[in-house]
Amino acid sequence: MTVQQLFLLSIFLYVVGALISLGLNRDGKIANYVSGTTAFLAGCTGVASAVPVLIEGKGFILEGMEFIPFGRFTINVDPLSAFMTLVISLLSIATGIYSISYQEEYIGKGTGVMGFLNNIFIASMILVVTIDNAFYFLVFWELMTLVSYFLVCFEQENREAIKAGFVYFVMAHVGTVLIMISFILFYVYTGTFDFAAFRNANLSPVTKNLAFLLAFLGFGVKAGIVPFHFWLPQAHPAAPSNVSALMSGVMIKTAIYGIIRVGVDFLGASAWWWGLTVLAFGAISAVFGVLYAVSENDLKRLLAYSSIENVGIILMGVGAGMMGIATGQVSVGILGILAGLYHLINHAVFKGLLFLGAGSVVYRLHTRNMEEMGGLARYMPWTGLTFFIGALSISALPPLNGFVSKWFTYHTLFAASTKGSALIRMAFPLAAVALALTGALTSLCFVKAYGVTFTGPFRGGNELKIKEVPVTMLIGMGLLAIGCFVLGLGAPIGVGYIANVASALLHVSSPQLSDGLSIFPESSEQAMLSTPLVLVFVVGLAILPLLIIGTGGKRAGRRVDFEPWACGYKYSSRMAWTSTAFAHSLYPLFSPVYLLRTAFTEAGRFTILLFKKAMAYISQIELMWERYIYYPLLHFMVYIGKRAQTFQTGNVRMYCLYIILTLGVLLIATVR
Amino acid sequence: MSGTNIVNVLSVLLILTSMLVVETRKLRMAAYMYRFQSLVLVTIFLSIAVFMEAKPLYIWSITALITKTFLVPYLIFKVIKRVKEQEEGVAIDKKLTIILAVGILALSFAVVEPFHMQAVLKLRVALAVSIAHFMLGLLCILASKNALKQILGYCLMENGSHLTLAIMAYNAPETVEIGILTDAVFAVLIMTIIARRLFKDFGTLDTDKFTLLKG
Repeated sequence: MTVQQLFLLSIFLYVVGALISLGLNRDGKIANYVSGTTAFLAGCTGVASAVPVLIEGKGFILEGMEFIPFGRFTINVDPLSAFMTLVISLLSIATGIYSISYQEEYIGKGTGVMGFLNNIFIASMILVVTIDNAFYFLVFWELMTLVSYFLVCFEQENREAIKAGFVYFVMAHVGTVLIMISFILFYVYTGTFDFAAFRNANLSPVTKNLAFLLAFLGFGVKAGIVPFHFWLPQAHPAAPSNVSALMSGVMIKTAIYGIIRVGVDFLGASAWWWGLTVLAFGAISAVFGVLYAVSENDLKRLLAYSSIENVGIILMGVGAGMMGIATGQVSVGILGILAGLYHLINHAVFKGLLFLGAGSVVYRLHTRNMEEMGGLARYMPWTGLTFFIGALSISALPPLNGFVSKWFTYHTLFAASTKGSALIRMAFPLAAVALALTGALTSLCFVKAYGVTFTGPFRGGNELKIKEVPVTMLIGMGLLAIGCFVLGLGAPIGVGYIANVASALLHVSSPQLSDGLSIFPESSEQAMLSTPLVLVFVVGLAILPLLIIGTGGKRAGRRVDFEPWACGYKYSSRMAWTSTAFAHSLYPLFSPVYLLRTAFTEAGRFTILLFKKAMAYISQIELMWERYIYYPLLHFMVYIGKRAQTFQTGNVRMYCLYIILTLGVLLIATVR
Repeated sequence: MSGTNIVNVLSVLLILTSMLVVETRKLRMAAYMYRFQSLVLVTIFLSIAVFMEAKPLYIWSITALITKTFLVPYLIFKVIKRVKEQEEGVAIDKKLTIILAVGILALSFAVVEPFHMQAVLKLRVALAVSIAHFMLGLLCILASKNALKQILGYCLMENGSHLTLAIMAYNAPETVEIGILTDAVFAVLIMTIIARRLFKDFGTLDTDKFTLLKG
C-alpha cells in the first residue's frame, strides 16, 4: 500500500467508524467498541502513512475534485504535515483504546453520538494540518471547533460545562475571524486560496506584518496563550477525559502548526521582531500558566493550566527559531523549530497520558477535587505508575522525553542570545530565565499533583470501592507511558528526523545533531546529551542500594503499612499535606499574580455573634485577566447594546420612519 | 392625446386616490378608496400594454384586477366586520401629512430627473409617481396608529412597486408578475390574521399599545 492510500484509509476509517457509531447509538456498548476500535486502527494507519514521509523527507500531494471554483481540494502532506499527522495519530491510538472502557460511563447518555463526535474531531484535525487550501482549511478548522464544542458540552446536566462551552465557542470564533482576515489579505494579493500560491505571495512589508500578527493572534487564541487563555482551563476539563487528552494534547497544537505554517512557511519569518513577539508571548504564557497550575485544586484544571505553560515553552522555541531565520542564523532557526516541534510531540504524549490518568481517577472517584483524593496509588497501582511517569516527563527529568526538548529549547535560547542587537541579547537570556523559573515551578506543580492525589492518606469518603481501572484504559495509558521513554531514549534517532522537518521548512540541508548515542546543538563541543547513558546511570544509582541490601544489609520494613508519627497525637488523614496548603507558600512570593481579595477583613463582636454561621472561607484564585480585561470589555459591549436598544422602540411606525429617512437619504445621495 | 400622456394623467389620478386613502378617517371608506385606486392601477397597466404593445401586461392587468380590487379589499372588509369600526387614532396632523406628501412628490420628481433611458423617458412622470407612491405608503403607516390602516399603507407600497415594475420591465414574463401578486395577497392575508388575533387579545388595533410585545 502506498502512503497516499494509507492516508486516505485512515480518514476513511475515522469517518466510517463515526457513522457506524452514530447509527448504533441505541446500543451504547457496541457503538463504544466500534468508535474506539476504528479510532485505534485509523491512528495506526495514520502513523503508517506519516512515518515514511518523515524518514524519506518527501511528501505527497492528493488532488481532490473541484466542487467550488475558488476552492481546490488539495491535500499536501509535506514533512511538517506528516509530523503533525503522526502526533495526532499517536494520541488517537491511545485514546481510542482508552475510550472503549472509559465511555461506558456514558452508556445510555448517547455513547454513539460521543463516538461519532470523537472520531470526526480527530479526522478534522488531521485534515486541518494536511489541507493545502485556505478555504478548506477554515472549513475543517471550524468543523474541529464545532465538534469539540459539542464534546465540551456533552454533559448536558452540568451547568458548568455548558458555560465553559459557550466561553470556548465565543473565543474560538474570535480567533477564527482573525485567521480569516489574515487569509483574505493573502487572497487579495494572490487571487487564489491555494497555499501553494500563498508561499510565493508578493506582499508589501506592511501587509506582511499585518497578516502575520492577525494569524498569530488568531491561532494564539486557540493555542491558549496568555492573555487569551481563560477559555482553556474551563473548556478542557469539562470535556470527557479522553477528549480532554485530545484537546490539550493535540488540538491546541494545530494552532502551533498554523503559526509555523503562516509565519515561517508562507511569510518566511521576514521581520526579526516577529520571533521576539512570539518569544515574549511564549515566556509570559509559560510563567503564568504554571503559576496558575500550581495553585489549582481541580486535577483536570491543573493539567489544563499546565497546557498553557507548555504551549508557552513550544512558542519560545518557535519564536527563537523565527528570529534566527529572520536574522540569517540558519542553525538557530533549525534548532528553534526543532525544539518547538520536539516539545510539541512530547507534550502531546505526556499531557495525553496525564489527562488519561486524571480521567481514570475521575472514573473511579467521580470528583476532580484533589482535596478529596490521596493515597490512590495503593488502590490503583498501574494508574499511579503511569501518571508518575507522565509527571516525571513533564517535570523534565532525564532521561525522559520532556528533558530532551527543554534542553534543546535552552540551547536555542543561548545560541540566539550571542548575536544581534542589544534588545535580542537582552530578551533571550531573559526568556531562558523565564524557562528556568517555569521548569522549577512545573516540578513543584507535579510533585503536588502526584503527591496529593496518589500518595498519603485517602481524604475522600468510602475508599473500599476504589479499585484499578479496566485493562483497556491501562493499555491506553501504558502506550503513552512507553512513548515517554521512547521519545526520551530514542532522542539520538528522533532528533534527526525532526530536524529534517525543520530544515525542509527552511529549504536547507539538515545539520548533524546526533552522533551515536548522543545529541548536541550546533556542535558537540558546545554541549552534549546522551539519554541512554543517563538511563544507565540512573538505573545504576537505583541498583547500588539494592546490591548493598542484598549483600548483607538489614531489610527495612514496609513503611507504607504504618501510620506516620504525629508528634504523639493520634494520626488523622487531615494532618497530611493538602492541595491548598502545598501551594500556599507561593502566594506571598508571587502576590501580584495571586491577587488575594480579602473582602471582609475585620468583624465586630456583634457581627460575629450574628453571622457566625454565615461566615465562610473561600479559597479561590482571583480571576485577574477576566476582572481587568474581559469584564470591562463585556460591560462596554452591554452598554453599547443598551444604548442601541433605544432605537428599537417596538413601534411599527417608528420603524417606518427609519425606512423613510433612509430612503430619503439614499435617494438624495443618488440625485446629487 | 398620445399614449404616454394618458399613462401620465392616470398616474396623477393614482396619487390623488392614494392621498385619499391616507387622509380618509373611516376604515371602510379607506378600503373603498384603495379598491378604486387599484382599478386606476389596472387601467394604467392596460394602457401601457396597449401603447407599448407589451402582451404580458394584459395578463398582469387581469391578475391585478382579481387580487387588488377584489381579494385584498375583501380580506380587509372581513376584518372590519369583525372588529367593527375603530377609532382611527391619528398620529400626524392632516396638514402636516399633506406637506410631507408634497415633499415626497418633489423628491421623487427630482430623483427621476437624471434617468435618460429610452423606454423610461416617455413615462418619466409615471416613474416619479410610482416612487412617490411607495413613499406615500410608508407615510400612511407612519401617519396612522390603526393596524388596518397600516396594512392599507403596505398595500399602497405594493402598488407603487408594481407600477415601477410595470414601467421599467413591461416585457417581463408573466410568471414574475403572478408570483409577486400572489405574494402580496398572502402577505395581506397573514397580516389580517395577525390583526384579528391582536384585536382578540388587546381589544384594540392601536399599534402604540402593542409595544408590550417588544423583546
